[in-house]
Amino acid sequence: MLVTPIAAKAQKQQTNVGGWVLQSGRGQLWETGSTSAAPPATSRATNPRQHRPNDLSKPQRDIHLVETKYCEDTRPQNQLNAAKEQHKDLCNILQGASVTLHILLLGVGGTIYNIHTLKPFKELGLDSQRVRKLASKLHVYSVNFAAKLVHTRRALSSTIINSHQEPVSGQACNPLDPH
Amino acid sequence: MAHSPPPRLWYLPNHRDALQAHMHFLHKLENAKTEANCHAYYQTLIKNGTANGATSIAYLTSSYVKTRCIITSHRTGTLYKNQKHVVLFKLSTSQTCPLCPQVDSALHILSGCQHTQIRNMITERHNLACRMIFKAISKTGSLGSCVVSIDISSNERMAMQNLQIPETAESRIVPKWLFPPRFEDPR
Repeated sequence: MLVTPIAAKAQKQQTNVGGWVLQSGRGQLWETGSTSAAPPATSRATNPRQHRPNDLSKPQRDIHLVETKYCEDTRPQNQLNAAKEQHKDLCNILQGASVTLHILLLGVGGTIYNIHTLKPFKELGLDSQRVRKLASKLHVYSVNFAAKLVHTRRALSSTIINSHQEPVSGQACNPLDPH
Repeated sequence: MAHSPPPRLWYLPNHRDALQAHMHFLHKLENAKTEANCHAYYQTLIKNGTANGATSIAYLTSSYVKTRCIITSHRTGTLYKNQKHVVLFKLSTSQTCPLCPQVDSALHILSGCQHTQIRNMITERHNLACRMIFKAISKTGSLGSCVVSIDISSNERMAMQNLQIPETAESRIVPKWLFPPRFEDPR
């Protein structure tokens, strides 16, 4: 879950007049002047105007919920509806100027969707190069994991089937220890 | 008068229907529908722009042969060794998964099986994907500093991927200050 100031756009570090600059990976939000860019790195630790998400008042908050789901490759709609239903109540309860639910869908067979995967990444502030890189990493990961799941399943089911079969003649010659 | 035995070799009139019928009769290779199969659904997804074609088929060039075979067979609806196929080939009468009491299918293997080991793997797949996304958002995204709550696994697991819970994200639970003042937790 992310909480951003309402004035901030989910674009790559834009400076708004009298608005906010989000410093990626710094753990802080910075209020900016009308012309200055982000403050220099040396002054960041002591800047008195820094804010945390919990310092923002209710009308200043823009809440983003991010839900990731794996779905059937050819029918993403089912999981999309399930995710919406799952977070419907939470979205209504949360206190903020706006609550946005980002549903990230990934196909179990490695499918990457334009609307349900790439678009939410962009909305969450990633540039197009990062989006492409992340999508390709997730694709490779999903594909490898799918293969791993199939192998595991085959191994487990063959173990179960073998355990139900009758013992072979070699086992019959060596009866179980009665003690 | 006795009939002569059928010839061991004979000509097929074509390589489509006749070959398909022959293969299904002798080898039980399932009469695949060429129009309404998973592959056609997949092509539709790519053509209408729902799925990203370039990324979704990257496995064809970047993965091992076995992985490629499994994913291609999954996408064409021919992933062998699920109970659906076993029943089709008359090797069993039950469509139930051998590991859990649910109906078996390719999707069930990849995301629905309730066997402890498979279920843990599915959960781990989700968590690991979430960690990758979180890493990208927190380290390179413009909203990285705004994370207030994450529920993607334990701190130890996150540390294994060189990830740290940000200062602003105190716990897995949604912070109280985001709820109405007199909101009571039903738990």
